[in-house]
Amino acid sequence: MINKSGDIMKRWIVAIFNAAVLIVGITFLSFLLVYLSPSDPAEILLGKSGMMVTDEVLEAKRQELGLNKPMIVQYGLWLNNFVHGDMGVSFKNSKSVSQLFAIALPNTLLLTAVSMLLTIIISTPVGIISAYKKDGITDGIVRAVTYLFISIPAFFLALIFLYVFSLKLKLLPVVGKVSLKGIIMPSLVLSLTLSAWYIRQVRAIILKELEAPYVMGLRSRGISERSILFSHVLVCSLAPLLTLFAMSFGTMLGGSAIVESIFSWNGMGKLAVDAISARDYPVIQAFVVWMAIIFMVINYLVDVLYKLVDPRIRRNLG
Amino acid sequence: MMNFRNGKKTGEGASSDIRLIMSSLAVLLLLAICLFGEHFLPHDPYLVDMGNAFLPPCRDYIFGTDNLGRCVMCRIIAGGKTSVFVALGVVFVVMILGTLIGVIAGFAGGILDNALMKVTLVFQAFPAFVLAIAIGAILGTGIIAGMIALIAVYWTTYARLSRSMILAYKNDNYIKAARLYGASPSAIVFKYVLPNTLGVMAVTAALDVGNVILSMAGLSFIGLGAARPTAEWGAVMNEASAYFQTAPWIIMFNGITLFLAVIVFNLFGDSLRDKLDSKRINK
Repeated sequence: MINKSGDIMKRWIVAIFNAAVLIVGITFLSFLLVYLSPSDPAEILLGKSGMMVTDEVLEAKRQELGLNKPMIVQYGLWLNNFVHGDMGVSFKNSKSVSQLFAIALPNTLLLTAVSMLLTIIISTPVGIISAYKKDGITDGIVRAVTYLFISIPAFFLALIFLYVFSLKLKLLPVVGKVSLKGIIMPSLVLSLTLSAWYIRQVRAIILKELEAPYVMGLRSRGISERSILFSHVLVCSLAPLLTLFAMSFGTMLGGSAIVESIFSWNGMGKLAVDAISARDYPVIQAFVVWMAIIFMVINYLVDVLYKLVDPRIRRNLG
Repeated sequence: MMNFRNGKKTGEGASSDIRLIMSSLAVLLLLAICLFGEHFLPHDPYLVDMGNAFLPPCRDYIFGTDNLGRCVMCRIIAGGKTSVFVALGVVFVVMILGTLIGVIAGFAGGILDNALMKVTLVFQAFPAFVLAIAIGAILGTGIIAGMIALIAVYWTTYARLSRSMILAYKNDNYIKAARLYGASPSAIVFKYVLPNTLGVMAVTAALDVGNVILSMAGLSFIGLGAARPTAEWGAVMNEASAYFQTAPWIIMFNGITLFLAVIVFNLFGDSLRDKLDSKRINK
C-alpha cells in the first residue's frame, strides 16, 4: 500500500516537473522572439511619443524597460509581467497588447471551437461509412476526395471561397464580422481541410477495430451490426479518436492564422499576421505564447479524458 | 484460404510497383520542368511591362499577366524552382539533422538523452505553423529564413523516430555480435544501425515534401519566407491577393500548380510507403 502511494507521488512529481520544463521552454523561446529581434523597443516607443530622442532619453528609457539587464533577469521580468497580464505595448499603435488580445482571444477560441465541432460532425460519420464500405464505390470516392483536399493549401481554398461566395454570388460578407454569417466561411475552410485528414484517420481507426477478433465473435453470436458499432466498436475507438483530436488541434490553431487574416476575422491570427509586416514583435510574441498555452491545455484535457475513457489506463494510474 | 491471401498480396505488389513507377516519373517530370523550364520560357519572368498589365489569359500569355505586366506562366515555372527545391532542401536537412540527434540521444542514453528529448518536447509544444511564424518573425523575410523556420518545425519527427528505432535495435543480436568483435560505436552506428533506419526515414521524408511545400507557401503568403519580387508560389499569391477581384487568374493558376505539385509528391510518398510495407510483410 505504502509502496503504491509512493509510486503515485513519484508519478505526480515527474508529471509536474515535465509540465514545468514545458512551460519554461515555451515562455523562454517566446521571450527570445523579442529579445533577438533586430528592433530596439526603447527607440520605437520613444519615436511614437513624438519627443526629441536624445541619447540620454534613450538610455533612460532602456533603464526603465530593463533592457540593460542580463538576459536571464530580463526573462524573469518579462515572465513576471506576463503572468500579471502585462504583455507589453504594441509597437504599431501603442495600445497594450493585453487590450488587443482581450478581444481577439475569445474570437479565435470561438472560431476554432466551431471549426473543430464541424470537423467532428463531418468526418466521424463519413469515416465510419467509408470503413464499413471498404473498397466499395463510396469508399473510393471518399478516399479520392479526401486525397485532393489534403493537398489543397488552406489559403487557396479560402480565396476560392471568398471569390465564389462573396464576390460572385454575393451570399456572404467579404469581411468576417463576428456573427453567424461571418463565421460560416472561415470555419468551413478550416474544417474542410482538416476533415480530409481526419476522415482518413477515422477510417483507419474503425477498420483496425473491425478486424479485431471480438467483432467476429459478436457477429457470430448474431448481434446486430448497429449495436456492434455503437456499443462496442465506437466505445473501443474513443481513445485513439481522442488522440487524433489533440494532435489535430495544433494544425487547426496554426491554420487559423492564415484563414483569419484572409477573412478579416478579428482574432489572434489576424493580429499576428498584421503584426508581421509592421514588425510588431510584442504582438507576435503574445500570439505565440497564447497559442502554445491553448495547445498545451487542450493536450492536458485530452490526457484526463483519455484516462476516463480507457479503464485500463485508469486502473494503472490508481 | 492462405493461398488466396498470398495470391491477393502478389497482385497488390504488382499494382503498387506500377504506382511507384508512375509517381516517380511524375516527380521526375516536375523536377525537370523546375530545373530546365527556365530556358524555354516565352517571356522573362521578372520583366516589367506596364503596357501589358492585367491581361487575362490569351494566346501570347497563356496564363495572363500580373499587375506589372509580367507573364504569369513564366513566373509559375520560375517559382517552381524556388518552391520545390526549397522544400527538398528543408526535408534533406531535417532528415540528416533529426536522425543525427535521435541517434545521439538513443545511443548516449542517460542525461543527454533526457535533455535532448525535453528539447524535442518543447519544440512540439507549439502548434507547428505557429512555431514557424515565431522563428520566421525573428529572422525576417528571405528564403533562407523561411527554410530555417521550417527546419525548426520538422526536425522533431525524425529525431523521435530515429531514437525509437535505435532503442529497438540497440539490443538486437547482430549489434551485440558487432560489439563482441570490438567494433567502435561509430562503426556500429554507420555500418549497421543507420542503414536499417534508412528505409523508414526515406518514406517519412518523401511524405513530408508535400507538407513542406504547403508550409513554405503559407509562410510566404503571410509575408514571411520568400518576399517579392521573388517568383515563389506563396509570395506571388500574396502579391496577387490585392488584385484578386480584378485579376483572379494569377491566384488561380498559381494555386492549381501548387496543388498539383503537392499531389505529385504525396502520391510518390504513399506508393513508396506501400512498397516498403509490402516488403516488410513478405519478410
